[in-house]
Amino acid sequence: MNNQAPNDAVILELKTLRERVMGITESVVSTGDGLLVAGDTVAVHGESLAALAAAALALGSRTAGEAGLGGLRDVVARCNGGHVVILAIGNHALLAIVGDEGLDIAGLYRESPASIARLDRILTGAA
Amino acid sequence: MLSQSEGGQSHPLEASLSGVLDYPGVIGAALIDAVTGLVYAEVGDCRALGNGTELADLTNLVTDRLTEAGAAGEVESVVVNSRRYHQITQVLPRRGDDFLLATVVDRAETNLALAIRATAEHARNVLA
Amino acid sequence: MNSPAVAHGPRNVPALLMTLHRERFTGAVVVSGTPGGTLHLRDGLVVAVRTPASPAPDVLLLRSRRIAEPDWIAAGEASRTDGPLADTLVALGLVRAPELSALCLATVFDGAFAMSLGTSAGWQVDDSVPAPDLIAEPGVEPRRLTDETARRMLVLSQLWGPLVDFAATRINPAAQPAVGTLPVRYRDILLGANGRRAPRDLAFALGRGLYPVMLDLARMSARRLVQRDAPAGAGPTPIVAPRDFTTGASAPPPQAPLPRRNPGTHAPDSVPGAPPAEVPGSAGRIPTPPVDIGARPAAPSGDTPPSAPPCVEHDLRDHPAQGEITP
Repeated sequence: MNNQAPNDAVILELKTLRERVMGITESVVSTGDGLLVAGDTVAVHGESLAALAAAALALGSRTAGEAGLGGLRDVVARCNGGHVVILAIGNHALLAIVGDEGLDIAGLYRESPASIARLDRILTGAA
Repeated sequence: MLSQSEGGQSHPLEASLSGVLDYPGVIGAALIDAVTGLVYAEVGDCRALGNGTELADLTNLVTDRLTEAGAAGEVESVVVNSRRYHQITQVLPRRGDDFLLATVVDRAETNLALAIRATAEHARNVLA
Repeated sequence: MNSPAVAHGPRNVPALLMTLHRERFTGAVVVSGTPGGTLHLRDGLVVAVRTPASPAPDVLLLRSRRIAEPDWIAAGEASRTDGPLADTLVALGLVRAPELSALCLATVFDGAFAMSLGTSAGWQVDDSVPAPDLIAEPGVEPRRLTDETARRMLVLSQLWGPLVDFAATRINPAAQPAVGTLPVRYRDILLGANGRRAPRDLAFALGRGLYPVMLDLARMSARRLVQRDAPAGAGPTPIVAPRDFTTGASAPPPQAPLPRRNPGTHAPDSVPGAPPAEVPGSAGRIPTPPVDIGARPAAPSGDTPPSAPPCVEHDLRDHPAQGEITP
């Protein structure tokens, strides 16, 4: 997709998550302001997904606040052809996951906290 | 083969198949998945058909060998003749994995050409 | 009539289904595990199986393009007033009744097979779970279901070998398969196999059942059309533009790369108050699919996740991102 060196540790983590949760097809890690860090992608355009996911997470967070529902946990888009799940990584980054119709949502919620924690360590460690 | 329905003969699969029994000489018919051999429904006397997976395997084998040999197009039907019966398997192409309409025809009551035409016509009606 | 099934403590799901069949049970058996799933019964017969491990009827209809997405949406809306979805699909001429019935029946067997490839950690019998829209009527006797599942596992393990490995194998096409002389099914599998997809992923991408896809893969492997060795997990993935099975369009061409940034080095301000995702228990709720998260036990994982490298500091510095914005 491009000639930049991928952030190998992030990509490895994303691949591990894909192999552990049935139905994940692609995923990206993005900064909170929508810049792609690294992606395990094949069909989606990583940069675009990163930017849109950051916007969606910010919008979801503000919507939750406006509705008086407290902090946002995650954003789930259910689509005719699958799912997009956006999870915050700490306060400054996010994980966007694309899954097919059969995405194992329960499995994702079981596995993602540990992945998020590891990603958080990788990202803050790189600071 | 297994009989699939316990009650309720108004089952749409059996209803769609039962018409084929009206053709002269047809004594049994089954709708089968062309890949897995799963029997979706059967009507009449299907004992001469063997089981669904054997039929699907046979049809797959014929298809594979023909394409390997360079034959163009898909297989339309496979006919096996025994002393008493014709066993006619029509391939029903569809979006998704094909179905097979397998029929048992009594040789004494009809000729093969007629039976193939009749079952092909019915096959078109099942999924048209 | 026996006392409730749970009191008997059947030793496994097949035994449970037999008991429920005798009791002419209507409701659901929710199996937890990896990936688990739900079996829906009516009068003791299995009418539907839903699991992440195999495509449901709607996936088969949409991904195979048997029904176009706008038609599917229209049918869904019409069925709210006109009655059951299956009847509406048939009434609108989108699919013939026999084909739909066969498809629903196929997914019962496919779902049971797919679940048997995973591990189940337990089950709950629940008569309050509503059946899905598309079901196989009148349903399948549990005995037939478990017999067929056992047969399928035997067939595949004879053709391929250990099924757990098979299910986890990421499929790659062989170096140069002679695509021209192949049946359409095989060709489609080769087009979908990109080294990332396991058989289950291929089944979803192609809109086919898991078992038929695995059966085809096993036969294709025998003809050396696919590589059956699992690729090593590490290394960046190949970037290609595969067919988009949903729309038929190919993936959009990559545009000029947008700037990248290493988080932590710059404080973004566009996610006000986004909390860490791992903090649960806040009052905030985003509607999520009705999945019982809490009831699922932790997966007994065979392989441990790779530990994160302590530092990737060099990464973005050695290879500065194009157009990186610096404060």
